Amino acid sequence: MTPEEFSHYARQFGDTVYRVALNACKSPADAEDLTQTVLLKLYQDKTDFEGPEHVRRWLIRVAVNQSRKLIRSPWFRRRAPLEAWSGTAELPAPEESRLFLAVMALPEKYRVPLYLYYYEDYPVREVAALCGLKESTVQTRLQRAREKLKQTLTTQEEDS
Amino acid sequence: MEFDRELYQRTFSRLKASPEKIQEVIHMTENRKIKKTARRALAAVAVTALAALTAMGANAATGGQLFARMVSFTQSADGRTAEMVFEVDNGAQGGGGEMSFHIYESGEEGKAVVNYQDEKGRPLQAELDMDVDAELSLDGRQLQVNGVILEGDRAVVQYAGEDGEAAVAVLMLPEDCQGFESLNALLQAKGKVSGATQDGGAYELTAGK
Repeated sequence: MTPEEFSHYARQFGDTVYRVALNACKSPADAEDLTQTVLLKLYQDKTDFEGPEHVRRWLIRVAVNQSRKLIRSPWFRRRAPLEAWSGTAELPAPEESRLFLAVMALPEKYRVPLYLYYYEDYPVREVAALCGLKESTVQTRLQRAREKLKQTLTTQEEDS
Repeated sequence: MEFDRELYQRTFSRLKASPEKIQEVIHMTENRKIKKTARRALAAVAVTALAALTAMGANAATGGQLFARMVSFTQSADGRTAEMVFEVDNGAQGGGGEMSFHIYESGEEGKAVVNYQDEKGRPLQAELDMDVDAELSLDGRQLQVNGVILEGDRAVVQYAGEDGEAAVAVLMLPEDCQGFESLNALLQAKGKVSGATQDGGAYELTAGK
């Protein structure tokens, strides 16, 4: 990959990688470090990519794998409180802030499939391949994520 | 309440990586030499940071583990110097704190100098030898050593783990293998070095082929 091609893909997909990493590790600082790591791996990789979609899939798969590695590393522990994240993104609408916090409160195993399915618009089959899961597992996790979000957001509405 | 896909997409579209971080990694790749230096600098910092952390010791309550969270990382445009700050917790009451590291490549070929402070705030300096030619057998796996710090009775080695990530092992050195100027000198004198890792595994170091 030439530096020019890499520069183009880094700008085009850097945010995608960041969002996958943030959904996985919940720490903006770690997500940015992971983004740089994943992008450097892209530059160093010798795969003959077929086009932008191939690059996007590759980046997402590597971001998922690298995030898991970081989370499981004995040298790092996530301690950022939930409320600290809402200040890292500009979420002007209250419903956006509520949804963001509710999603970040979900277990990690739900957040990444949720993001890949509802934001990146991958079908269940592709989400399963990217996350290394069975399709039935992805279906179950999406369903449980929706149920938990519904419960959380409904409770918040009733309380307000 | 049905899942609001439009709200989800709108919310998460606002989450973006810092443009500076993206530009930083693009800059690293615009010059091959810079990229190599940047990687070595990162490996050097990782090795030295972990060496210092192991020197701090680990609390039994944490199962002998240390936890470290990178608070900040700044690297010069040419990748030759880097500053990292870690927040460290060894599980003991008041154990840990912040540790910062400043590294730069020295004038000597293959050497990097690392400046940091120990847990008592005393300034320390370590020299990382990146010009190593050694192979590591670790619990049956054959690995290439990329960098090493010799520190008294132990060698902190950095090698390429899975996917080429920088991984670290702390190797306890037999008494007759301590005090050498470099790993290359040690292997030249002894041929091979074997022993136990800090966490009880088995290792063998040999000169590169």
